[in-house]
Amino acid sequence: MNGELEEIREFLDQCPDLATLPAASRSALVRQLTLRYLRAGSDFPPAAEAGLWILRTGSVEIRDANDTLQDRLGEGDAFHVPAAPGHRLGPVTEDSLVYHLPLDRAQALSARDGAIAEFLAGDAPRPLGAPRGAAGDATQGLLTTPVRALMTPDPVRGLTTLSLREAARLMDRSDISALLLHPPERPQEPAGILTDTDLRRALAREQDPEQPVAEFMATPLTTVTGSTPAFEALLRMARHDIHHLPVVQEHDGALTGILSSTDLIRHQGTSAVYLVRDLRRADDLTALQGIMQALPRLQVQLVDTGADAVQITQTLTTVIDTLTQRLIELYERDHGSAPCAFAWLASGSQGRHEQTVFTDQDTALIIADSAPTDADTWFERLAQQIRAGLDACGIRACPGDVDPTHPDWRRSAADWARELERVLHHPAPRDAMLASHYLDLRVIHGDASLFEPLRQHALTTARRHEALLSALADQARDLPAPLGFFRQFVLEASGEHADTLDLKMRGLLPLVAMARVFALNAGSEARGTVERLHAAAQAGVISENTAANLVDAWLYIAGLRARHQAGQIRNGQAPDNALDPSTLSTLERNHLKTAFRLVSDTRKSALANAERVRG
Amino acid sequence: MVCPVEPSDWRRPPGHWRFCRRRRQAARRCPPGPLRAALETPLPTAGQAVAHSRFLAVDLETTGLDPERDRILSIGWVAMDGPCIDLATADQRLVRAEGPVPEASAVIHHITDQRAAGGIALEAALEALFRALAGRIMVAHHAALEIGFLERACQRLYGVRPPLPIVDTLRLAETALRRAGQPIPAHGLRLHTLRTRYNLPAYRAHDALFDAIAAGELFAALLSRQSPDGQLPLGRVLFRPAWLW
Repeated sequence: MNGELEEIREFLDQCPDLATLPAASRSALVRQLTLRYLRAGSDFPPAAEAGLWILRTGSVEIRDANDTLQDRLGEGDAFHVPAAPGHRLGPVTEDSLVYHLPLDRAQALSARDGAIAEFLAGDAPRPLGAPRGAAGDATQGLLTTPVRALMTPDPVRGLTTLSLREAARLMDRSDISALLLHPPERPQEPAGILTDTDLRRALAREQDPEQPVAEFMATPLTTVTGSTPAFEALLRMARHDIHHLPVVQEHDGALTGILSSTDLIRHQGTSAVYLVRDLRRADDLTALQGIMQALPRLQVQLVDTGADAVQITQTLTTVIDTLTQRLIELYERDHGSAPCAFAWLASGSQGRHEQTVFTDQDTALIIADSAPTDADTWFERLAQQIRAGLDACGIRACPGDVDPTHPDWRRSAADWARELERVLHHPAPRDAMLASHYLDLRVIHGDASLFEPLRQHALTTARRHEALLSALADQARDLPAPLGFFRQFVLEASGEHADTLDLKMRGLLPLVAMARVFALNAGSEARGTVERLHAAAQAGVISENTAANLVDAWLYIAGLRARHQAGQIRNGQAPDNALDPSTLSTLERNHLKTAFRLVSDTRKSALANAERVRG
Repeated sequence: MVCPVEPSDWRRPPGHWRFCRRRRQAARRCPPGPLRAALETPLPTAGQAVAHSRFLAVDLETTGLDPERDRILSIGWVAMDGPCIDLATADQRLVRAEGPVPEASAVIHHITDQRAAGGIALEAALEALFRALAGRIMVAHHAALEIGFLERACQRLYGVRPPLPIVDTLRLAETALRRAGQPIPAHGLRLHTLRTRYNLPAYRAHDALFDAIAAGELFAALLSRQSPDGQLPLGRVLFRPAWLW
């Protein structure tokens, strides 16, 4: 009888890197492994030996020829060394127990087991980048998007007892091309549908408009449920040559919405363009509110068509910028033009062009020095109205009151100049937060020349001040680390989002804060995180390699957040930043860990360099 | 059988020659079989580097602590080439019970009467162990227990008490801790406690096989500290009570 090594096989089953192997191959692997104990400070791999290495405990660093950190392996991580490297790949950083599949055994095993051969052949050191299978084309979007996400909820309905004329009037009044009809006693059970085509046909045949509509409606109805993939709905329409599908609930057949072929086309098309155009044309808050209801759908569509995080966040920011501009224009229309020149500013994610559908307001106002004495009343009311308007359209009012209803965020140009000088040149330690807000400010509406020269001046002089750099570097360092001691995700311990991972707090904000420091040191005016990282690399503040890695990490984490939110929208939930890591595939989880690791590691090394003024 | 110990070897432990002679005598009195073959396989010199020595980490589960009165329930082992454990060699044998398993030990090993009835005869289990042991030095945590039970069993089955060289991880760890000037708390030398100290994983299983692997891992951890280059002479890690050498 051979002893059972069940516990070791169970451990291998948990290793993300081995997840692609069939279970049988993992079992076959167990009996081929050897075990080594590597002391902290020793070289990895021991005796520069090739083969597959799997960490049971401890940690190991992988460094390149320039001693730059490439990866940090922790418990459960595997690292394949296909051929003897002839030198060490990095130091063992904690006492480690490692499993080793020596090269000769790997070859023998590969000869017997195709899955292992494939695994060992393809297991190159893990690069960061788009996860496999994440992107998709538009058709794939239609394949996976449920009808629920595209339909018009709660459609206009009429009684089957209406006359043809009354039905036509109702359709005209509601501006719809299809009317669902139900018997008086069962309002949730549509019996038929009347479309523009039916009306045209009735007119052409000179039918009496006082006849009951029931004579003309199409019946019985072809319906779909909310969870039907959009692509299937499209097929059903084509097959029956119809353009409208009532959407009913699965369990009781109750009506929940209607899907038109236009809804499907819109899903494929460039709806951001339409959205912006509609916002510009909107006449009042109610109209803006109605249009902004499409914002979650826009994010879903962008995710489904395989847009990357930069494209998604820039598109959404553009829509929210347009909304803000339109709100201000409407205010000026209703309350008379501004008493003097001004500029409306956005900070935070909007300032950086990094918004998603789950966002809040970070805004500021700058007023020309030539303002008449009573001008502030007009601007204060503007601030209140815009705050309320944005909130009504789903952009939450900032809990921390970073908006111009507060006098701190509504200042004259001269006052702003003094304030920027104070915070950016002589920051008290607690000013770091304020400084980072100021550095992200961007003009959304109004006279850009009121603000841009101030910012430029502040930037070019501020980077000579080490105090600001070190205050911002401290801030970047103090943000909570995403990975715990055993390289596990640090999950939120309590509250509504207990046991989830805050992708923004723990993933994106540390990156954003780091990029801000690098860009400031580089003297760059860039605001977007990706832009800032590129600018910093160009100026030599960080290496090209570090910049590329951090950009990849940002794209991955921000992309994951966009997909996570799109998933929530599809399921009819409110989008947020709280990801449950157990919902990720092992591949994605591993990817995210690598991205987080990169952020933590770079944070230590690169920040120390970047907080000093160069040259 | 020759014991290849160079007379000039200053690292030769005292009594090594006597130990080899006793092995030869035991081999002669032993019936042909795996034990005899193991005793006839030459031992490495005490000066050989640990990195090039071959070991077998062994663990016995028993019904108690007294070799005279208690019985062996199972034997687990895994081979080590220097500090490297080879899971391909991991193996264990369950010994058929000759009487009821005392409740106290069943609680620890989860070996119940029913499971023990599914085992094999002690002699067959020992033969498998000695086949694996040929040319290797035993490694065990608290070696006196393993030695006591194995000698007693061989005495009964073959009429000889085989002199088996052994490494005791408990004694090695104790020496290492004392040398480092660290206080040794109560239970501080238990296998589990020591493993935690060296960042080794906790195993759920408490069978002979995983305890053998656990002892082997601890030995590897101790070696990595005491001799990072593996050049430490074998004689320095051997367990040598006066009556053995």
